[in-house]
Amino acid sequence: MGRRRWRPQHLRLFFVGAFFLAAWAVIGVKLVFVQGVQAQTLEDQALDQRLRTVTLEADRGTIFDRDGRELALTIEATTIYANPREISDPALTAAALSGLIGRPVGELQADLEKDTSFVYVARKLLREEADAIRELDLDGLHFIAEPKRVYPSGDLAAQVLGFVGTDNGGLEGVEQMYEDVLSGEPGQLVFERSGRGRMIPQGEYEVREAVRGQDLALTIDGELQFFAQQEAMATLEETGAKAVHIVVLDVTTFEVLAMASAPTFDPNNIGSNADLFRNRVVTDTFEPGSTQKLITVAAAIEEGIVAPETMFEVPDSIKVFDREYFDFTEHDTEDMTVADIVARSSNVGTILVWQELGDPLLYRYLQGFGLGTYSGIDFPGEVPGLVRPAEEWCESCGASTSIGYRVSVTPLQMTSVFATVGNDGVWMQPQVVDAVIDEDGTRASLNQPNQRVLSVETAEIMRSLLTGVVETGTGQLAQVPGYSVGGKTGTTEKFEPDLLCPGATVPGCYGDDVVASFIGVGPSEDPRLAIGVFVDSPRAEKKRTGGVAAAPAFSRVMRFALHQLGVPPSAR
Amino acid sequence: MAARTAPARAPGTGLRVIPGRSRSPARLSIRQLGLLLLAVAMFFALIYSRIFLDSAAFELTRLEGLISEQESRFDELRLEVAQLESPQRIYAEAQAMGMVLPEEGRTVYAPMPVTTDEIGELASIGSTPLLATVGAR
Repeated sequence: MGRRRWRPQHLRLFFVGAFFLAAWAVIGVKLVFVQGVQAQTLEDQALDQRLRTVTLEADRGTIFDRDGRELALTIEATTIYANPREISDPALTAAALSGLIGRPVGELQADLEKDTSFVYVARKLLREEADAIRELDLDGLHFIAEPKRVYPSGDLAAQVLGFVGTDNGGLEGVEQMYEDVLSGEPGQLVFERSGRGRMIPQGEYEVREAVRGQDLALTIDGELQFFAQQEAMATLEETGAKAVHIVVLDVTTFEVLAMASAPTFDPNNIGSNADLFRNRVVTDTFEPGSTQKLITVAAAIEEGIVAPETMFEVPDSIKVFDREYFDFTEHDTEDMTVADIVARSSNVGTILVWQELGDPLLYRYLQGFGLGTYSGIDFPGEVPGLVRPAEEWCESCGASTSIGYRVSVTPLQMTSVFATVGNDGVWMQPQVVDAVIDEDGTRASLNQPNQRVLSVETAEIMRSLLTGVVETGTGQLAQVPGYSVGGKTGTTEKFEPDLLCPGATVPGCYGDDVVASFIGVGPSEDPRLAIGVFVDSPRAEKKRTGGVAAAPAFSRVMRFALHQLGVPPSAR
Repeated sequence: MAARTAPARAPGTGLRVIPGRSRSPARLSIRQLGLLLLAVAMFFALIYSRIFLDSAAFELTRLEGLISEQESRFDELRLEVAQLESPQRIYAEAQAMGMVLPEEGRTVYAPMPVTTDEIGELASIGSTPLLATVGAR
């Protein structure tokens, strides 16, 4: 048998065969690779393209006042976005939308002409507003639901509530402090969608429901808060002050019934003045001045050093080491009882009491009344104020401290001091949140520390001294018709850290501005409320003292509050 | 083993008759027909069930949309109620109606007996003082 010879046609056949064989081999290998090695990856990729994951935002909890009035709630709103690539005539679309969403045509058109597939047109519109746009049936517009935080009472308790950002996260006030409680837990929806983006029935569908945030019940009384805000605003206008703060505390519980600051803002439309956002009742400090004489005298009485009728020979001025102190009004040296010293708000008399008391005891009582430490109220940005330890005091520091200088306090801290006297000598942690309410309505109250600072007897004595201030002393404009109330005036020069004193090289000096305050309790015989009115930098002529600038507002708010609480008039 | 007789051959043709092997057209038995119908019915049932499920899913989506719409409406009504209850609104409405906060009130103090004897004394002369009705202090 001879050797087989390769003819050209055999060769061609061989190459064609080899080519097809190789091609099939490549296809086979690819097939094995796709179906075997890459199978899972490709399947996952395909599923990823079809699957869409949507975050289900949790509804934010509602904030109520003490009577169940909704102060902050979340509603479903509609956000409109556009895919500019789907819009054939951006100018026409912008013109149609502009009036309905309140955006300038030019700005809107510029957005709609962008080379992108997503631009926000309007966020968080109410249903009717969104429906009006939906009816236009414009190309390229898409509608999605988003939760929107609203404050139905406008600026009511705005600085207490705070507000949320675009992403519904709390940025100020209780909204920020209780973010974890209010925000809830977002859920997730995973579904399979068609090429047109629609959900495929019977496709992949997995939902993890969002958990709604818990509700908060505040201690704030909506109506009293409103009245306090009105009064703060009226006092601001009347005195030409920079700001006015009013705090109303229930002396038996230390619940904050109202906490108002003027000027204020509307959390639905916050504007750009960030200075208005913070709750200055707990974030700003001032030197309390004469209102702090209450602590000096109470400490001396509690320690048995003086009694209300203890007599002092009070000159018009007194020198303590290198500093000389004067009474507000000039007078001859005269005999004054401790009660007179309080009623007439005598600086010199109070310093004489301090000389009997001494620095360590004064410091101990300042601490006992909660000065220089955080009150623990549930509020972001609370400051502790400043009370230096007694061992760091200079030789005249005790004298200054006894009349309310060289310490800094917040309006809330100082009102708490008077509430302590009203509460028979027991200081409690002030609170603005009454309870956290679960989905099933269970109320969880918060822990509230307390401590006894004065005996019941001393507290009663102090109340009678404070009543004397209102009946015959510097606080007569604080009188409340039908009720016996007590309180203390305060007028403090403001320390300006940037101001240069004449002849000084280091900045820091007392300027012309003052803080005029009046803090008191009522009714005197059985106190229910402590109210503090603080007027920051009053400018109006003859309205720059606590007795004139702040006491009238105290009177009106106290009267309204006592009526609101149904407290009968004091017996004659 | 008994010998069998070969079947008779038709003369001259070479063909022979084989008994019992006559060919007849294939027919479905009742059981087969039943199975076939069952399979067809199941096929249509399956298709129907898919259609039913799909339409139910669409209906579900529609209902969810309706629920969402009603929830949204509920939210808006809640907001409206809260706005109507707002002290600002009520105050403004009251002012528009000409209402004002009362001026300083006058407290009237009724003569108050301090003992039950005094209450009895007043009662004996036909006087019923205000505080006698709420009790002596």
